Amino acid sequence: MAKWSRQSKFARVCFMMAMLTTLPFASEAVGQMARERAAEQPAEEMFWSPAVIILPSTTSLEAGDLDFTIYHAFGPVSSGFNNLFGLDAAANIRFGLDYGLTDGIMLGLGRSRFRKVWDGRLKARLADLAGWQVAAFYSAALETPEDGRKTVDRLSYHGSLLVGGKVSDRLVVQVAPAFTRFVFAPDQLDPSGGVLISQNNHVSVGTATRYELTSMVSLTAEYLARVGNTSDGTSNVLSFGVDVETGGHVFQMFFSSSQWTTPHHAIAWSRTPPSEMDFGWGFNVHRAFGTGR
Amino acid sequence: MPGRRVTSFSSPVMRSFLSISLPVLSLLASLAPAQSMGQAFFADDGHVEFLSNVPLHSFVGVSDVLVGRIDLAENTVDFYVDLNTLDTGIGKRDKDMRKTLKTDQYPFAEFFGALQTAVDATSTEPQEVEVVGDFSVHGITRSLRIPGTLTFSEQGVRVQASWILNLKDYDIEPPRLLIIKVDEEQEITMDIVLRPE
Repeated sequence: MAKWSRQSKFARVCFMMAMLTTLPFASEAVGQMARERAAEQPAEEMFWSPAVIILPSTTSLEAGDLDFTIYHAFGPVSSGFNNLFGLDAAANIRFGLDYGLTDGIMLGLGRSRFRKVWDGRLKARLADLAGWQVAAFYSAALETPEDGRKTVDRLSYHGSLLVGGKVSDRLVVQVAPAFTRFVFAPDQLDPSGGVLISQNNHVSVGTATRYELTSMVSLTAEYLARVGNTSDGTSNVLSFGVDVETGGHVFQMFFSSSQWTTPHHAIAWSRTPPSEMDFGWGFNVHRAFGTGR
Repeated sequence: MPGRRVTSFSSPVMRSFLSISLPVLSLLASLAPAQSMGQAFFADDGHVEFLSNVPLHSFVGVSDVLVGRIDLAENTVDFYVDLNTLDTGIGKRDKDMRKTLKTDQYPFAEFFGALQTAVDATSTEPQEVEVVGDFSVHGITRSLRIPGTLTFSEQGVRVQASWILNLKDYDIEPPRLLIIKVDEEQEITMDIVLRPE
């Protein structure tokens, strides 16, 4: 009798074990699959365009994307109604075309009206970690007015490291230490007949921020602060504006204490201190195109 | 009933039968899922696309990482796609789309349901089927009835389906191209070859 009991117990144990082994299969068969994110995820977009206003942003174009930009910076609003608050003044205009070589590297070319500047630019994302991005930006510019200067004396260079990240779901900040060099920086005469000493080399720290009001509207601001020796009569630059994003376009409307369109020239040659509150307004339109990727 | 032999559960014969048959039945029970696994199909490289219409313009968003599983034994149909993988051909537009769909918060478009039509897994002819289940996107779930085609082959089963998704039904604000709104109705098409598990 004891023998039969042991056999029955063995059978029950076998049955229970077999049932247990079927449970994982059974639950998989009747349930949903576990949802898994795709291995490759797109980089987060810190700013809505590759430029905050004048400063480059950590945002890069995706591979195969073209970004055409039309940048206008008008005269000072303080010029009054008779000058339609700066619209009658000579506007600095830059046309630019940037292209995403890869998802993290972009090339660009632009041409600005003031000093007939052609600028080429390269931006490469170096890191993208935990909501923070690091990018390197380099630009070379050539001034092309017919003023008798040698080609080499028309050149300027600007390199910066861009570090940007999300402080919250809506707030993005960026810091951009930079070095700028003008091969030839002639001293200037001031209106009183004095001489303004110009510097060839400039060290600066740019800071920028974006605050997302809605999915379509953001507030932006940037400040270019020079460090160390600066050219006489020049100043730091403050710009602030609104970005409106709508289906492949980004419209940037802003006020700036500088009319320069490239970071090189804004850092080296801006002459209106932000403390004077004498801003000019401007806009920049970005239009993205695909190239059949 | 004289002469009839009655076997009780407590009889030695019955005990012997139980002690042998239970382990055998248990073993068969554990093998049963393996049999049903043969009727389950899975793939994670399916194609799904949506067609968006704007006046005088249209664009297509595609993903080739549609994940799907059909279990004929359990009659479950399960599909999902990571919305961050959708590619419309312009990176900037992709970013706008991800914002519109709030993919950080709701990363998947997913369907889970059951076949409403009997299928013949031995036939290699295309079979018109209908599935009913829950489709979720943008945090909203709605019950859907979707027609499709199943085609069995040596490779597995090819699943093709198409339906119209109305953005308003899922509380999705149609994005704008400048001032022009994208059509609320999006044509969704999927094509995936599920392989036997």
